[in-house]
Amino acid sequence: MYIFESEQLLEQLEQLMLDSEKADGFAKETIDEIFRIMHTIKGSSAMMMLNAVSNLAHCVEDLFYFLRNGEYDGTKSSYIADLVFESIDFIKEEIVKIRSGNYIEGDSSDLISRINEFINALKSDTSVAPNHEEKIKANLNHQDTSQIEINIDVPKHTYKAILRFEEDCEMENIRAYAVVHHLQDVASEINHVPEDLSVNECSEDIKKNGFLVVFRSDLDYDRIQEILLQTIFLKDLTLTELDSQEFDSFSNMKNFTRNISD
Amino acid sequence: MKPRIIIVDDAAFMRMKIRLALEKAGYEVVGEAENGLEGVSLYKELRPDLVTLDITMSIMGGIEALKKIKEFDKNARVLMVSAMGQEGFVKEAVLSGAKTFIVKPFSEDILIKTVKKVLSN
Repeated sequence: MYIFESEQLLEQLEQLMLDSEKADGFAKETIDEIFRIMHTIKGSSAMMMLNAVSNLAHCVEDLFYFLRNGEYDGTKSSYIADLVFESIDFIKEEIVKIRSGNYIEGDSSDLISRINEFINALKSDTSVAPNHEEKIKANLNHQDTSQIEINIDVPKHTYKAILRFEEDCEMENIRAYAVVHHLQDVASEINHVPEDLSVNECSEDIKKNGFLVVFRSDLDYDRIQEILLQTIFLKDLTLTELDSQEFDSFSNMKNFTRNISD
Repeated sequence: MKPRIIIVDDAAFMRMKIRLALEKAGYEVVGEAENGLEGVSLYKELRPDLVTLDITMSIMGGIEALKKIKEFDKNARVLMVSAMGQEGFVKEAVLSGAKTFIVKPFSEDILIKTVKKVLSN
C-alpha cells in the first residue's frame, strides 16, 4: 500500500511539475498541492522508517511552505523544478530498491543540503512575512501563562507539581503547554519551568529535568492529583502541597529545583 | 460494546495502518475520511467515541475540522495526528480542544495506549 500510494503521489507530482514548466512558473494552487503531496510522503515514509525519503520530503515540504507563505516573487522556478525532479528521482529509486526486496537506504543528505541552501538564499532575498506557525507562536506568547493576576479571594491551596513524560512521546514542550492550558480552568498564579514553552529546544530540558509547575487552586490535593494524572504520556508525577510562605518565596522560578527527591 | 472510532487522514496508507492497529486492539472503525470536510460530516452522522485527525489535508485541514467538530459536540474526543515540525499547529489544536496528539512516526503501541487513555478520560 505504501509503494502504491507513493507511486501515485509521485505521478501526480510529476504532472504538476510538467504543467508548471509549460506555464513557466508555479501557480498558487500548484504550490499548495506540491506542499501537501510532500507532507503526505513525509509522514508515510516516516511510518515505514524510510528516513532518507522522509527527510528529503520534509525538506521539499519546507521549500514549498516558504513559497506558500513567504513573499515568493516567482523567479528561479526553473531551479526549483530541478530540485523537485531530482527529489522525485531519488524517491523513485528508493521505491525500486524496496520492491526488489533488497533495500539499502540511499543518501539524500547532499540534495537536502542544496535545498536548504536554496531556501536560505530565498529568505535572504525576500522580506519574509511571518509564516503561519510564527503568527500562532506570536499569538500564543501573548497568552502568557507564566504570570496570572492575583485574585482578591486567594485560593485555599498552593501546589508544586513535577511532571515527567514518557520517553517516546515527542513535543514535550507542547505536552507541558497542554498541562498549563488545562490547569487554567482550576488554578491561578501558574508559574512553570521551563518558562518559555514556545521554544522547541525546551523539550530537551523537560526530558532531562521534568516539567515544574507551581500554582494556586481551591481544589483539594486529591482532586488536583486526579486532574494531573489524566495527562496523557505522563510517566510520573510528584505533587506537593506548599504553604503560602513557601509559595511566595518562589518569586524567581529559576531558583526552583526539579529534583524529584525534594 | 466496542468503542467506535473514525479516522480522518488524506493518506490511504496512514488510514490503513491506523485502522489495522485499532481493529487488532479490539476497536471498531466505523468510518474513514480523506479530508476535514468529509471528516466533519462523518462525525455528525456517526457520533463516534473518538476521532483521529490528521493536521495537513486538502479541502479542509485538521485544525478547522477540529473546531467544527467541537462546535457540534463540545465533548468530542479528538486525537490529533501530527508530524514533526508542526508544533505551532499542535498548540493551536490543544487550544481548540483536542484531547491530545501523537507524532509520526508512531508505533502501534503508542497509538493504542493513547487511544485507551483518551477514551478513559
